Amino acid sequence: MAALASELVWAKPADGGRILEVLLARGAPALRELVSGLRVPGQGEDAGVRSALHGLALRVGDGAHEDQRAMLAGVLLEALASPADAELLSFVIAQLQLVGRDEAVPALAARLSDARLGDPAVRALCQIGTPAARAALRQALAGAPPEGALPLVHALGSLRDVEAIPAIVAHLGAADRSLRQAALLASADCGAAAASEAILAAASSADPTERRLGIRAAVLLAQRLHAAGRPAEALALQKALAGLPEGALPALALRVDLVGVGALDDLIAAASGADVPRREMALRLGQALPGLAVTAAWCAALPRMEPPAARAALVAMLGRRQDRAALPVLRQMLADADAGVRAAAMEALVHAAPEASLRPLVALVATGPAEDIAAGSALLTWAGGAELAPAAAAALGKATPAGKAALLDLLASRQAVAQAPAVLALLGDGEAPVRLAVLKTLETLGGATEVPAVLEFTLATSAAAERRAAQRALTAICRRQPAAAAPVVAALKAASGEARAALLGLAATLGGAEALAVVVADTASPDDATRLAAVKALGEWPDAAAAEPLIGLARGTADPRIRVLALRGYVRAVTLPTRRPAAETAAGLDQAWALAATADERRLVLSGLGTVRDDAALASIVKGLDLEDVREEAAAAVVAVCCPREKDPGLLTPAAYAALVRVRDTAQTPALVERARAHLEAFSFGGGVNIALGKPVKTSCRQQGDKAPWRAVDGKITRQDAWFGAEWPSHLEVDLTQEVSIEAVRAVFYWDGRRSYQYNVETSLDGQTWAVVADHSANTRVATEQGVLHRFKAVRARHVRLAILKNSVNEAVHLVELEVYAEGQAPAVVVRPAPAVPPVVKAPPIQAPPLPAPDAEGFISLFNGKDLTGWMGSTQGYGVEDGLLVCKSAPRRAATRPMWVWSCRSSTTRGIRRPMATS
Amino acid sequence: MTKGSMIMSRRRFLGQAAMAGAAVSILPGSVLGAEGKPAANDRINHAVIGCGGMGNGHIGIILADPQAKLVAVCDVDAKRLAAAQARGGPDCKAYRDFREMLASEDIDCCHVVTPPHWHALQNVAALDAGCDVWAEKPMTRTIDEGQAVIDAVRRNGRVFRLNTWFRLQNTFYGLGTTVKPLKKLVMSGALGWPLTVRVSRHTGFHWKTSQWSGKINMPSEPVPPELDYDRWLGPAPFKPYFRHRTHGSFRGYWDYDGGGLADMGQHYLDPVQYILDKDDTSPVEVEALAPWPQHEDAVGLWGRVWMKYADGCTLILESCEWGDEETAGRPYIEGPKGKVYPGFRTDPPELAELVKSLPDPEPMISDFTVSMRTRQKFGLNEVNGNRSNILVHLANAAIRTGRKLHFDPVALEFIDDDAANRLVHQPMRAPWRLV
Repeated sequence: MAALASELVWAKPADGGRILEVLLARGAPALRELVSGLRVPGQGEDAGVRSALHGLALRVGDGAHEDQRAMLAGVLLEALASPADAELLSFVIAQLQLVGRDEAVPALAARLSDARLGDPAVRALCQIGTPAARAALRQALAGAPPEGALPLVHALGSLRDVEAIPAIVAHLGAADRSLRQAALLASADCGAAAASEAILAAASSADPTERRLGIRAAVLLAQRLHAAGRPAEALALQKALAGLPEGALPALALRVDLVGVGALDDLIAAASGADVPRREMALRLGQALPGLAVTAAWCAALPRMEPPAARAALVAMLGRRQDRAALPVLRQMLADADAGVRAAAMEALVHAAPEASLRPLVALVATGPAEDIAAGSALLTWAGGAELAPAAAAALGKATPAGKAALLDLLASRQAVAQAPAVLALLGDGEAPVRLAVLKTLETLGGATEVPAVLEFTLATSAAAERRAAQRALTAICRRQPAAAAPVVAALKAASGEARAALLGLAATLGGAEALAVVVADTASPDDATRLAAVKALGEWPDAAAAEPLIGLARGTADPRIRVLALRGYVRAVTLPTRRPAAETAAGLDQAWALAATADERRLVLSGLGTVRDDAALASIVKGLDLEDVREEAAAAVVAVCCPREKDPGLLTPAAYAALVRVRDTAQTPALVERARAHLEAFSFGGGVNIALGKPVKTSCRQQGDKAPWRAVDGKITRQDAWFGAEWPSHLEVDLTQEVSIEAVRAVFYWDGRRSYQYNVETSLDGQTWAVVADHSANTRVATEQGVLHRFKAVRARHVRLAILKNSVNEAVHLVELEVYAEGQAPAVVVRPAPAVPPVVKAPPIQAPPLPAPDAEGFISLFNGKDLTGWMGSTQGYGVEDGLLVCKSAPRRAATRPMWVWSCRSSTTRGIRRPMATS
Repeated sequence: MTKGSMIMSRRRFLGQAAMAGAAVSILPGSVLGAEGKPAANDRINHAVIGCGGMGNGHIGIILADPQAKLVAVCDVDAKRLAAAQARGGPDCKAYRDFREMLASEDIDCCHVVTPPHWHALQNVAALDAGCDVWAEKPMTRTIDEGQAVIDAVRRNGRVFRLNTWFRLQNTFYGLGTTVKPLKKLVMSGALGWPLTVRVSRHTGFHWKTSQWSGKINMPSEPVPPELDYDRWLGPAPFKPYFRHRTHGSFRGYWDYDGGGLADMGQHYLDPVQYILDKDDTSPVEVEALAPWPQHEDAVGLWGRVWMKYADGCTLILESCEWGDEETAGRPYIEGPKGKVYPGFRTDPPELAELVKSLPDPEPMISDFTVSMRTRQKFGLNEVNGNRSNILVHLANAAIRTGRKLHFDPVALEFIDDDAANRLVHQPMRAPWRLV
């Protein structure tokens, strides 16, 4: 049986059900055996038995399995009658609480006075709740000592046992506070009118706990008396309660319980005045009272309500009642002198009659005072359905300027494209704010139909703000519907003078092949302003199609302004996000590099090259490393191209290795050197001919165990095949047996993810005088399985040694392998397979070198490359690292989206050029 | 003037100070005196019952709110109480008995952050003491306790909020969208009716059934000296102490809570109830696929729960921690005319566009301070909160009884099932009683 039951721990439902059916079919003996499997917790496994008995109790206790229920109850009662641990018996009682009926009452009653089982027995009897169970509880209460009475009083109270009233009331004067309070609640719950006096006394007690309990009991007693058909006594209690401090609010709710609609006058009185909690409670209670007469009474009281806040609150309540009878008075309130009342009336109308509220609301928004416009539009965003847009559009004509702006906002928020013509009609409005609002709305709603009119407006207006707004609208429309751009291109072809310059700027935001042809042609215009505008337009072209014309311009022009603009535009165009292979981008930038003649121009190109994370860009960048005046910028570009960034492990190619070595050895900026050095350690090397393999070795200290020195030149990179020396400082020396020109040494120390070794690599011709060829004495990087490959300028030597200065974790040294490489035979960089990411060039988070001094256009450098001196506004979260302006607070966001910090110095120039540091 | 009437008069002042004729539910920030830090006597006095993990979360919220002041904390664990009082500073008093705290302190807002077997008792006690209540979920431990909280709110004219908020704000767990567009789409009828909603790991919801399972066959252990175990148990049946029963793991025992369902249920299901417009009703059928029989003390695993409303709308809960899985790749909301997947991917796709032109749902008060100052119901209150509380307990009743149950959403009882109803009404251990 226990075996069967043990299968029940987390059984499949079908299996569990089947096993329980088997148990039931075998009858009482099987259940007895099951019960005998119960164990005191911690003294044996009985989870299956407990699950089975609990499952059986829940199954047979459902009311449809009477025979089986009686059988289970019988077996549980047998168990309850036999001596056992109290914990087990309380488990049995808990199951009887689920399946017990009258047959369980005597046995449970017998346990009522038990210290440990009395409490579960009370609860089981309470749950059984039959007359016999009640009688048992009453009998126990009659004979209970004061300290045992409390649970019984509670139980009889929760059973609302009228026959227990005398026994309960007897405890109202108990000395024990808990028992007295239990008697108060229980007598109230049983409807004991005799307890009224004691309850009211408690409700006015100075002791707050007693007082609250008394109030609660008074409410309860009145409800029970009312239910028992004794309304007069209930009402008397309610009146008494209303007069007590803190009793007013509960008494109000109670009054509604007792007399329903009869409480209306009290509620209306409570809803007037400035007492907010009382008012809100009265309104909440009043809202729930049904009937047209109730609505009418509230409506009649409404105009007299003071202060206005009370009026507004009642209006809101009438709305929530959703009673159409209140509509006339609600409409009347739309004209109330108080704005709060008007706002409440609008909302109430929406609740009470959504379809009928739309027109009055739209009308208020169109022509009402400012506060009504705000409240009305807020309401319409959620209240108006499909019919809102036509109604709002129809109201535009007669609206006030502020009303027009609000209605336009509503149309935009609903994407009411069909209303675009009505919106456009307002473009001729006399008020500038309205015209601006129209243009803003057309950004969302406009289509090809609206383009000619907006275009005409753009050319005709003299207000700069409106022209910009109109251009934004045109851009937005044409981005959504590329075909809509045709009229703009046509107008561009036809325009001349200032209009042509303006349209060139617009064309730059639209793009497209046809427009491009016109703009390119204009770069050769005899008119100075047109030519300059055309070059600027190309520089801002949305795609890379402008790149070719721009480089052509940069090559061909003699005008320094045009050259700077064209070159900058070209770099921008080729580095726009694209799926073009990175090598092509790099080739494009190399053309610019070839063209760059000044340091500023080279910096510009380097800033672009720094964004191309590919070998191809390095070919151009390293040319910059040769030039004194842009070396640091070139070094920054190398680091930007090669070093790891977030999840990108960085470039690990031979070209990257060579470039980083140059940065490490020649750059001046410590941070760049450090980043280059750090990334150099990530490279893997392969091949090469280790000439130390199997050569004679000697050491300066004794070995530990069998870890002899020759194991450091055995060619095996495992931690077992290593030399363990007993102390540091110490050294291991290998004799190459003949003089060789060497250029690299690799040292692999014991690795465990936490220890680091400090040492120098030294060489000697004679074994007497030593020279350091690689200094690793300040190393703190942990040792790895790859070891460290030290490359140095080729040197002739016969002896090579590692002078070990420190092991970070203990007093011994553990060298897995020492490899020595002759000149030309050192391991080469192993190129790992490229990560499976498409070659997308993204706008990088950081990479620009320090910005140049004032250039040919007169722009002033905003950033000194060291700190944020001169910058204003919120610079929090920004900082300078490696000479770069970086965003520290949100690097992930910065990686995908440029952010701007504004400088006060920009106000002295005519505009702000896009900084190359986009961070 | 007695202490009590002083408390009441201060509260009245709190209610009135804010009322600038604003009975509408969209309240401008200035109504709250948002121009600056409120004067000291206009700050709201908060107290916290229960200073465990969540309690400390509440304390953090209170201390960070310039409009709030923490006046008292209460716990039955002396160590936790001392730590909480230290956080609250010199003006914060410590109590081991919440009744004493409610009687002695001038509290505007009481936070009930105890295990759920205490929730109903303490919510009602705080409401009867004239406090507004900020309550942890699940709202109560059984279905019938919920009504006692509703009555106490009504009787005392207080405001109540449950500590979950996804119907009001924030991205809805792993679903990758807020609730608002879902509500707009469903209410527009574009998905058709009735709808099926799947709340499963596959749609972004982790039910944590393993995490909140109880232990079985545990030997009793000595009660640590700092813990008043009898008071910790309170209304729950006495059972021998072992550590896993109490702090931090009590969710694994039926006497105090209901496992992962009770932990996450109201967070996950309350927004569903809102989206389906079921704030005033409950399902009529519930059935579970779970190991059966369940242990009488320790909460165990479950696989899937179905709940069906009278109009045919269906909720499917799937834990993905027991039994087979059927929700993988299936929509979060499925209707006869359209489907919505996590991330607001829709089928047909244009439904996502349609939402932009639909009106917003009616706004609700989403800042409890606004509710307290204006005396208007919070968006997630005792009434709709109790309906999502019921969803949790319906699901657990089906898991425990192992059979399909029929529920009466008005009487709030199971139909013709005495044993299941004995789970709905569970008497408390004396001297505790809920009236």
